[in-house]
Amino acid sequence: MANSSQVFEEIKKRIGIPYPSIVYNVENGVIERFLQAVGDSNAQWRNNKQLIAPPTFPLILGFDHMIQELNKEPSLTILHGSTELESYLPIVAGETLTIDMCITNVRERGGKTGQTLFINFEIKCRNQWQELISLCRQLAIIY
Amino acid sequence: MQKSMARIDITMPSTGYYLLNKISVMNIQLFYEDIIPGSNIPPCFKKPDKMQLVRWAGASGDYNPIHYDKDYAIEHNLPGVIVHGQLAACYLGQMITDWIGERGQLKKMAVTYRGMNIPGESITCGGVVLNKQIDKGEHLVSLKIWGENPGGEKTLTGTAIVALPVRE
Repeated sequence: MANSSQVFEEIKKRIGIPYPSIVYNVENGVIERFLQAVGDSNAQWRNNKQLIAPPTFPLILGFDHMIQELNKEPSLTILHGSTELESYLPIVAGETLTIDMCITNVRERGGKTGQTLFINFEIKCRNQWQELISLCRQLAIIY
Repeated sequence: MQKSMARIDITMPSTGYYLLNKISVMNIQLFYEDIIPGSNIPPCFKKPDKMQLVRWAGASGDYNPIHYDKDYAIEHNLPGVIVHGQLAACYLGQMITDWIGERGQLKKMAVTYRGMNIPGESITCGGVVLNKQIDKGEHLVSLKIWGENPGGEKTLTGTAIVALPVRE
């Protein structure tokens, strides 16, 4: 089991180094589960045979992967600080998305409970035509 | 005009919505010309329970134990299991997309998580129009948005930019 300083150093070493891309095949079921999880009953997402994802859908793409990467030590607490989303194109079921993730900045601060790491990471989502669908910037806080 | 849709969490009529009955509203298309800076966005009321957090974990893949393991959450100095921040952010997104209608586009949204939402407690999503402007042919509207817990604490705050159609 790694201690927190080892985990923090490993995270710092990842700044600017892209993680391997993830490919998502977006099916109706994935969008439907998202809609049900949010409780979004707006008919516009379900008007067509192929569901359309709400613009916030990209927030979940790659986020789980990043949290797993950052949260490798169970004794540490990881909280979510902020989310920024830029949405360029809608996602329609049937599309194949490529997700690229990268830590863009890390700041460390000392506090009463020990060291805290503020990690900025970015997740880009492109479709099968390499068009940029969305850009998400996230802040995770680990202590 | 959009098709009617069931919404059990909207109880008050406001710009863009016509209340049909307690469980159903008709969402009409919002146009740039309709926008008055300083006006409120129709609010969205949510009350996620633990089952909803499980659904969100399954849909999003966010299995951080602070969202489902009470003992783990308390050991990590949290009051107990807390609502996923991104779920609350998506509530704000839903509030916006319901308001702007099918031809509107949510272009940007930025949210800071300032407090914790507890499952079983309400989250009241609200917003206000900051300004409107035409930029490179797009009719853009800037918003201030937030989510409040039952104590009136704004647990998430942020901004958003939407593009709206114009009347022909």
